[in-house]
Amino acid sequence: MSVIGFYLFFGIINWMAFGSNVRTVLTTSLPVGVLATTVQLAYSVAVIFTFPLQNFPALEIVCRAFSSRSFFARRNVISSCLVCVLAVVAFATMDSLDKVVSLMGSLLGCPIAFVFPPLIHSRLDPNISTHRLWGNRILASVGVAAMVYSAYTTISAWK
Amino acid sequence: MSRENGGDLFVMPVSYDTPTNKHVKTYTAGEDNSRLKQAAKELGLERARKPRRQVRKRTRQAKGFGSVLQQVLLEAATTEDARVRSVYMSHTDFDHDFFISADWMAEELGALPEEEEAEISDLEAHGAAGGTLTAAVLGIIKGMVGPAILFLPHAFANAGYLIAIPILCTSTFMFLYSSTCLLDAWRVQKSLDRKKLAMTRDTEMTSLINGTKKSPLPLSYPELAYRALGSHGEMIVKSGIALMQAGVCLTYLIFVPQNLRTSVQIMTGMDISPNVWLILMVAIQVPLSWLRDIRRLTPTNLLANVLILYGLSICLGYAFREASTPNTPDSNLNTWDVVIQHFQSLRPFADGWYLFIGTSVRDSYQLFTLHLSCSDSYLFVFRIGLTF
Repeated sequence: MSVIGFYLFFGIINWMAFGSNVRTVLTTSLPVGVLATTVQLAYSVAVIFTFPLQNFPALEIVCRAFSSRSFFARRNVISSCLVCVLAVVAFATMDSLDKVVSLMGSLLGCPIAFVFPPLIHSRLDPNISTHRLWGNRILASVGVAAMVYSAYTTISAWK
Repeated sequence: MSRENGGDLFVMPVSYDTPTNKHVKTYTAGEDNSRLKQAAKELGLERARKPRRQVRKRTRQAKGFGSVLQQVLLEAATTEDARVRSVYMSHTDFDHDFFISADWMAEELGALPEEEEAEISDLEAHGAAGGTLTAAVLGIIKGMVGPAILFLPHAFANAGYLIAIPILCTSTFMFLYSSTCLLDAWRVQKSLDRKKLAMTRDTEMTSLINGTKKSPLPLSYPELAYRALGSHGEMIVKSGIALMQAGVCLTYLIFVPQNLRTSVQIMTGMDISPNVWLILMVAIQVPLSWLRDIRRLTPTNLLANVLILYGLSICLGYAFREASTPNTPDSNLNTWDVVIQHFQSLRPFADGWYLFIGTSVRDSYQLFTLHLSCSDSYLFVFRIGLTF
């Protein structure tokens, strides 16, 4: 069902790889022109709007970790602090490290949402088949290996 | 019984065990005068007692834009908001006795177990919410678009397609598999919870509403992690989710200033440093982050979706045009040969291939969350017309 959609996604990506694949941020490598500028502007505005939604889980988790009772004013302070911290980090890594930063975030964050589910499933499902169990274990170990390996190579190739 | 006070003061005989004392001891908010009149008649009063004034102050309806803004940004959570935010909670938060919303609990407990089972299996049969295939595809496309796609072509170029395509495919399948794992674990736990609930429903209703540890907690990802791996696992999962989302936001904070810089440069010729744009962006984002109910973000999300789709289609169109113009201006190849010619000019294997693992993992992560959110289990992100 949704696999069809995912392949659609890949099709799009592959096609885009053909035409214009010069610079890190794709939109900066479009030819100069009115259309390209509108695209860039549109995209920027759109990203500005989706930012709060993306930030929402992080904010929730951090705020709950810090305050045991929901002081609502306090939550605002924590949110603002978090955004500012992110801004400082972005400022420090603005030029030419964009790609590396995103990869690092993926390497360290994604396996947590990627290695853990098979483990969780193995523990929680009372009547799990052995096929599934072994599949889970293989996946988890592959995930761990990938995480370690790519983190290592990315760090070593950073400078 | 004093009659000169009219109905305002009602003096009751001392014994509080008479059957009519229920008129005095309870007062239901929102009732009308009939009960009081009947009580008066029963007790032989001349006039009925006046209903007691409501203790709770009526909440102000916000009028005017400023106060609406204030209400949206700063004031306390509603029930729906609490439910939405419960996706990231786990039992430790409940220990702190955060909010117990009786409506929400009632909603959870309201459906009979058999009905819910039928509902869930029905949903599984139909797939994503919305039922039809077009709705599902639209939902997927909506969820797919986001700046992460923009990073992919460059990563492809760096990695070479011989490496890139297999890695991307594998990582996607792995993520699909692991999200299925989560969903299965969720279903199992949900049915276990429901069984436990059905057994204890009659006797423990009040304690459930009071939120003891065995109450129906929202089965979120951190909660599942706690049940499987203990509080350490839960902590790791929580911090992982937080870090990952924060990392995505970080890339946004880098992406937008760069973009704005180039576009403003093109439009006006001024070269404003991206740091200026960064500060501007932060100034917008900080108030937006005070928003508690992300459902209020739905209109802006839809707008963002439309804009991104527009941008992507333009990029695609340009890519198609580029791909179909031949490299040398005066060759007579037809379109398909030109495409193949371009294809051959791509390198199959290039240096930056290890970086591609990270990129593909990051994109697969988005697929992962999308799959979870499609499944109507409110496991990861609430479905409110999201875009990533």
